[in-house]
Amino acid sequence: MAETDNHKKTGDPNNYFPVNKSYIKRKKIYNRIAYGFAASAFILGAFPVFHIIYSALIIGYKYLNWRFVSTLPTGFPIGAKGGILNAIVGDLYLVVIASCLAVPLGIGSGLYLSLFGKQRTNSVIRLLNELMIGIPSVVWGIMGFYIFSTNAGLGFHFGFSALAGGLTLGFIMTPIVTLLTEQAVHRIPASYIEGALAMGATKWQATKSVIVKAAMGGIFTAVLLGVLNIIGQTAPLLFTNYYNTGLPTGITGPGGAVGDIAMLIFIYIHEPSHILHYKAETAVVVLLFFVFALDIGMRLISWLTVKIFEMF
Amino acid sequence: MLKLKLNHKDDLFKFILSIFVFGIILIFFTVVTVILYYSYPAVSRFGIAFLWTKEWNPPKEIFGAATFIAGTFMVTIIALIFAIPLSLGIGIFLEEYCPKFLKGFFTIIIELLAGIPSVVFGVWGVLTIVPWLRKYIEPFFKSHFSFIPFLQVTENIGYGILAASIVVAFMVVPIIASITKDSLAAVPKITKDGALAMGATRLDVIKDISLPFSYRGIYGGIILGFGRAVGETIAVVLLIGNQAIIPKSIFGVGYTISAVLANTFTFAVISPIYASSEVELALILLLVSLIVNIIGRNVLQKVIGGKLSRAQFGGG
Repeated sequence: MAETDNHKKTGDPNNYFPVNKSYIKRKKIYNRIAYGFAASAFILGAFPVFHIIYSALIIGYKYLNWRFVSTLPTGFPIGAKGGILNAIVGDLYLVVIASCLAVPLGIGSGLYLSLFGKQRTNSVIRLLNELMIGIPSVVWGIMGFYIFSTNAGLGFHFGFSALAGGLTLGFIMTPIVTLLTEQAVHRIPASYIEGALAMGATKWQATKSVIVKAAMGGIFTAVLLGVLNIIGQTAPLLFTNYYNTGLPTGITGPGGAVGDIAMLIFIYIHEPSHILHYKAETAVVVLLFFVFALDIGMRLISWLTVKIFEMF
Repeated sequence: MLKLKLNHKDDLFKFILSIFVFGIILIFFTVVTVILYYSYPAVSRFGIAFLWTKEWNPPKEIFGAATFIAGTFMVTIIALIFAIPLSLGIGIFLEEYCPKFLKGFFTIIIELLAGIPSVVFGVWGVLTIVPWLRKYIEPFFKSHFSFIPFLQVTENIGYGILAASIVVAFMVVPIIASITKDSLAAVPKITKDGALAMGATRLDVIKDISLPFSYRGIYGGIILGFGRAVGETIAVVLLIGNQAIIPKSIFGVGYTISAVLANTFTFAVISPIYASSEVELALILLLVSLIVNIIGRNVLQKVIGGKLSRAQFGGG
């Protein structure tokens, strides 16, 4: 009761509570210290982003020119001269093949999950889908080997080729596109879809004329994030595509293997050669350029979509 | 959700979409079936003892995963010891302390960390972390702390458990940090504002309101981060030293499950039992990832509606 009687002791009717100034000061100092810890945690967490870019650029700027991205690797050890055209072309092959599988599958499933289906079955499908996102990429690689690449036993016998690697990457990409497509459709105001259905449109007509248009930005983001995710994958390609120093002559069988920027970096950094380490760092610059370009493109699209929504 | 009588056109539309959904289910069961089918010979031959047999000897056809399991869990645990305080700090900073106009920009930086491919982290580790450990950290520990178990430096080479753990920690940070941030953002603002109005400092709000309210979400984030760290492959292959021994110190070299798969699986397919043992290693990874993700997902569902944030993807 001492606290409530404080004003009687001090004689000040406004001072109902004891003001322990040193206590408040201590609280404020603790708060400052916590601020300092949190801010330094952020700085430490952000440090690798900048240091990775910096350490790649400081070696990469000497070798990075138009020839580096437009010629095939030559010289001895292979790659000491020339550029990484094989890897850029190979990445294009892999992304196109993976997208051919993952884009229709992912968008279709995402639409199904948000438009049709019973609550219970849908939650099972969502669970499987999210579990697939968590499966380590090396496990996908082993699956890809036994399904697509192996020459013996069951499977498609594509050999170490762009088709095998691309389809394995497509398996990794599909759950991501599915999840984000569903989220994109959920973000559309319910009145849009309900309005279309109330006017007598079927779900197909509503999808065609309302949902696809309204969720276009979100679906595009989903696809770009899927591509962003597979462009840096190395582990699945170890067992399904490996690497090719030249250009592919097909997409299956012998000569079907393609280069890949991530794979090229992985192989070059293993070689006991300084020049190849420098080339690997230069390839890191190219890979990071693609990754960040996709990232920024994705953010621009979703930002623009939000702006367009606000306009109406 | 929407209950309407479907007409024929919608039946066709639904049928086509359900083919795609069937594709998704097929992919999931393909990966599970392939791993189970090809690991069956090893599972039936070595049984449960596979998990604690230390010897891995392909010519004698003796296979045991204990060395690799030990390496994997050492890397994962040490990485989480680094990553948890760091990402809690980042989450708290972004949600509670950061000035409003910088919040978006700072969040993008942490999300960019999630987007950096694994192999790039590996190269950065080889060219930055390893020389740093070799030049400064390991000599320092050798001369001052060599009496502490787990911290002895035997070979001063930079590669090893610690180098791999540091890099994996940075790869896990965006996951835990973004989930921490989302969980803190789910705390009712009116409660926090009330406390601030009563004269509480930000620290009091974090300690007494935000963290007790959102600790479940943070647990979920840590569980998902664990799942990511266990399966991490390429960066670990480049940094861990690839020696099949159970490390006695965090500076020692070792081997993880993912690293042994990446290094030797293509040679292993020549011998059926060798290949099967390697697939059994993959089965361990698969089971750990499935269990961890089921638990993490259930925990997160209650806090932030199971909505995975952007930092979940990317990398590889």
